[in-house]
Amino acid sequence: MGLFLTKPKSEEIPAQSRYLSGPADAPCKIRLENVSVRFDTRQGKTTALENVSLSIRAGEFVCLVGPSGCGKSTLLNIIAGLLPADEGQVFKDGVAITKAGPDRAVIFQEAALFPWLTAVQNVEFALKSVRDKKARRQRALDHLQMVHLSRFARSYPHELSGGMRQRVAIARALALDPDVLLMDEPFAALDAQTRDLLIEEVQRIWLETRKTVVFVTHNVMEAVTLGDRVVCMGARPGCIKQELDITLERPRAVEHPDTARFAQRILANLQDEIAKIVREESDYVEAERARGRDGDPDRVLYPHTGTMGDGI
Amino acid sequence: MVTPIAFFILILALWETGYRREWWNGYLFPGPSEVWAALVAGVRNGSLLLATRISLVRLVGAFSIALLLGTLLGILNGTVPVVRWAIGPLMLGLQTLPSICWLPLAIIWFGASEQAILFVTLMGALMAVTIAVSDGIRNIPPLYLRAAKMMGARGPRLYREVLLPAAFPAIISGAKQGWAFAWRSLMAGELLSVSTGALGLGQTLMRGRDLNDMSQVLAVMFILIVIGVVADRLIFTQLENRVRRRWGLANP
Repeated sequence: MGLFLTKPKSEEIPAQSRYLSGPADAPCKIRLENVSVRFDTRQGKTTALENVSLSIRAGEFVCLVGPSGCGKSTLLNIIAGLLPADEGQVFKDGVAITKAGPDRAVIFQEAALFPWLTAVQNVEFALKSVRDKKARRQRALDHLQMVHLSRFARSYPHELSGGMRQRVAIARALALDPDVLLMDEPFAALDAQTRDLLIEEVQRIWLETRKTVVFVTHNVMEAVTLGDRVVCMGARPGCIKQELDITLERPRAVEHPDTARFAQRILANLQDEIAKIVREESDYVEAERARGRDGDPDRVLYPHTGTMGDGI
Repeated sequence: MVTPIAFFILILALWETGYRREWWNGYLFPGPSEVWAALVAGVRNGSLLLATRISLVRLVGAFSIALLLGTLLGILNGTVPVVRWAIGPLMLGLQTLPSICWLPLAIIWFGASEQAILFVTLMGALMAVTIAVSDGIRNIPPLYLRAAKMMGARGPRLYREVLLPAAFPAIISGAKQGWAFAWRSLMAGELLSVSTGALGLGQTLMRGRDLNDMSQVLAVMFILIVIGVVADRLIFTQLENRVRRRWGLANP
């Protein structure tokens, strides 16, 4: 938190530099060293991540992209402390990460709001440290206002649309006032219009708060629009293939020609990875056929979904 | 709504006609008018109301203890793997055991007393509540738990603010089932220990048999049905529906 406070608040930044990408000289916030993760699957041991090293600067917006099964969600869960690394180490501010905590807020693919609490109560859950009930309610309402949901403070999650739920989840995460914001394909379940709207909103909030963000997605345009840096991952085993600094001014519009140009460069690389996976999977299907068992369609198409999906 | 009522009236009419025309021995199975008269008389002289009160006090007492103990046991069973391995199978076994089988033991332990009846009633409800709570906790979506951990909720707060509310729909279903089991067990207990303590509905039912007063037997049965329906429809189903609506689980 200390590091974060020393950084200039958005209003103190001169108008021009405000829209520049994250600071190149900021201290290292998150560091992964030679991290490997293996899962037991029905096909035996699967390596989800192999020897991955990555440094993320304070205040940086890093996007992880890659084909499904490349371990990008696994990587995020390791930083969150929700999953242990089998080998290697993860540090935040030089201290090893051992368990989950409110200093690293996670926004999951599904909003993960508690259905028995209203929107404002869900945000209040993150504000446990505020003892005074009135102050807590006010803080929660402020955060809801930040995502334009003041009118729905008293609605239960099921009364909100998918996009609104995800915005409550964002408000809840921000209410924790975390050091690092970890977003795990937060817009994957939303329709395109809602997603574009939320991309703009996240960008605006990031410019206001300058949190360190790790954002996992399979959508390259999303990554290029949001990230200071896009980390492209490959699968089987999961590893980092390419890193690309996105040197575009902010705020960036979705589907802008400039962002599209960056997206092309990543897509070219990603295409190889996807081709590799498709090839492997067809080999797998062939092998299964040869062994005379092609019954279970789930297994043939997604042999690893049991453990390597986008949850844990 | 009209059809069931019409059908109900038809049944009553047939019953009364059969009784009046002596299609069967009227003393073995009196008609609805007789039963109604017995009911009104019982209410007038206060004996039925008193019996109802005594039974309900027993029921509520034993059920409250079952709810409290069952919730505690269920949480323990749902969150501590060692406990689950150790007592899980035992619980399932106890659940299949008709609770009235505890009566002989209860009588030895507590004597033919109020406590014996309460114990049988408690044992009837306890496992239903325990199993429901434990299942409810184990079926909480892992996503909620990860979100809670991420927000730093642990210890008592995790139980109070996440596990219990998340399992609440299951707990209500468990309570509903537990209530039904307690009700059956209480009646079995009262029927089999007529000489014990105050006269509840079960004892009154049995006394009706002893006096060959089938109208009273049927009147008490009628009260039992009404209490069962009222508790189920007006208390537990209402509560269930409210929770389901709040959670967005109800069908529109």
